[in-house]
Amino acid sequence: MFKRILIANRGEIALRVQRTCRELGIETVAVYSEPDRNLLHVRQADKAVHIGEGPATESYLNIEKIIKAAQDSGVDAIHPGYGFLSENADFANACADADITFIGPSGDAMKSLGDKVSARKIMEDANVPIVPGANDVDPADLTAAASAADRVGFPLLVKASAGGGGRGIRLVEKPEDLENAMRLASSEASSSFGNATIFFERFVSPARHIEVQIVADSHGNVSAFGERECSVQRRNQKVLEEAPSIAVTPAIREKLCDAAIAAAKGSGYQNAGTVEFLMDNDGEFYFLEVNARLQVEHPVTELVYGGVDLVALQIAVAAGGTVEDGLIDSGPIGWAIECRINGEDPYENFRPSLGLIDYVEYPNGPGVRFDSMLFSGLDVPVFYDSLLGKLIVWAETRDLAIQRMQRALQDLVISGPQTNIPFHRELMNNQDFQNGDIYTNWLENNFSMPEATKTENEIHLALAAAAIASLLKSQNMTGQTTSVSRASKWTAAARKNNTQEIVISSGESGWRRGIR
Amino acid sequence: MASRYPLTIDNVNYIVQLEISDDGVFVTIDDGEPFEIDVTTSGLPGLMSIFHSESNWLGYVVPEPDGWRISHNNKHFLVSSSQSARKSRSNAGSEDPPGKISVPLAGVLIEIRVSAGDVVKSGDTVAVIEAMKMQNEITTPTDGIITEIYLAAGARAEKGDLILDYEISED
Repeated sequence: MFKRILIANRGEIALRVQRTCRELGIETVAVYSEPDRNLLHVRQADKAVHIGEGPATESYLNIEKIIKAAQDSGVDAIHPGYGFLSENADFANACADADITFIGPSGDAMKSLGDKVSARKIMEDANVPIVPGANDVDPADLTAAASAADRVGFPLLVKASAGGGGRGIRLVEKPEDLENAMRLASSEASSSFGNATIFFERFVSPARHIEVQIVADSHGNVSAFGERECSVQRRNQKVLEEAPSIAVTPAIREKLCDAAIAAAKGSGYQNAGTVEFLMDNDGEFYFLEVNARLQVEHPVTELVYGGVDLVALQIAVAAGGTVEDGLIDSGPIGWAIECRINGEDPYENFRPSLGLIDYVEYPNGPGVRFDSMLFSGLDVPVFYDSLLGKLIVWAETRDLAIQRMQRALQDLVISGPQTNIPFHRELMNNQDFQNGDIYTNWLENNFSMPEATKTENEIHLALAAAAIASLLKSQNMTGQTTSVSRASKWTAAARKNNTQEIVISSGESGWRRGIR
Repeated sequence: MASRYPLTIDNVNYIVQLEISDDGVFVTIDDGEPFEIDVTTSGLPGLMSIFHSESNWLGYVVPEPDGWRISHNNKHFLVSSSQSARKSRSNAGSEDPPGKISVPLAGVLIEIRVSAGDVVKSGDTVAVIEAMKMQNEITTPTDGIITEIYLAAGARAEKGDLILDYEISED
């Protein structure tokens, strides 16, 4: 077993991996960029290494710096988390060259499966049904691209071969929009993933996004932990995931898992991975892609498979351990739902909303798990994605899980930037969602965020609070001691704040400081 | 002791009166009935707790140049002093004055597609900003001619930073 592991990531997933390591008695080494110096994963690590400036290319995407940090701190293994270098074959190979175990698939398997175009070819060979499309589109050759697009038919998706997490994907409804979409997808892919290769895929609709969690060991065994449903998507980005799927019967589950296991075995896959499918209303499914890493939404699988720790399994198989071969039959038990809590404003077309987290209250209680990077006083950097945390609940049935999520969303309070919590509250109350009538384009076509409503009572209390704040401020400015007769009702701390106000000055390095 | 505060939320003006006596803290809004509140602030600057009608309201109050930004129940309330008559810098997206285009959200400007002297049509993309790994195109609202550019590709930009001036074409 490993003695010390470097976690080449940040935010909630770095914390998630760290927690398992600490439970297993494995020391952790964190890496961090300049604006991340105050994050929880840095504080909770046994050792933390500064690797560069804010932009990911200078820090979390910089293979050289991360390998050097790993060597200098004498780790046995590196866990890449998701995103960043997690599906980068060069990074996996660099780890191997440095004699450090990469907790994930081999560089070769990653290259053939992580690259969507080559993965499509492998599945074609293995007779796994794939979505009709055109591989290897040259973004520079518009004439060839246009005729390839015609063969696929509109509407189609322009996808970056190296894309992931909804980035580098554009829906094209009509031929005249093709060029612009290709340019954006290709440039987004090139800046995010350093690879501008794109391909076309027919837009299968309506379809559900169903994916199978697998864990493969180095002895040829592959476990399949059933499916997750991730059909609630916005701009091809998952916003809510659940396990199991309301549309998957035990018979379909068996077929899905068999296909996923075949895909893993056919490509010599090792470690945890996810095989994604599109499924139509008849239960027919098409291979979409393999995510050669731990997924953001892995906790819903953990909760319905008896609390299995997928990170612990990743570490175990990377160290040579074995897993059961075949479909794991100890689950699914009950129902789990995950809401991605993002720093984005649902009332303003989900535009990013970042900055200082003034105050947080975590949800708690039976069946609630909140995997999050948040704490009061965190200044969320602009350089990375908008995921602040994942609110996950488990209950006996889907209906009860929805009720529990409604409750947990009421308990979660984030003051500071606007988050998408109001969106998730609306979603939980939505009839289609409650019925399970959800498809990958459902959210964008059938759901609209209502205007922000403020009740009279809320407005009155906000006015009262502003008046009180104005009163405190004016007393502070004139140097008067408080003349509020019921002073006993005011805490000593309040009086102290009245004369010693913490000044919020926005420092570029991320931490805001100063006392006036 | 009574104090009077003219305040504005969502462009609606209110007169808020605070009456503080031995009997408690009373709030009167416009000509409404006074209601009692029991208010405390905490050791965390900005955090305020109000009891009203036996239910507790928790809000976080942050000073803004012309008023207060209050978050309560994952919603934001911008409360401005009515004297500073101009509309507060709301969270309602940037609305540039005619002839100016500014950065709509904090991020990194990865591309400026125009130069001074270029003729642009309404809806043309003039710049691309990347924030949270997503690229967002910034477009012109009207036809015009670019007169001056203030930011360069690669620059880190805050919301509201001026990108360019342009002359609106009459037509």
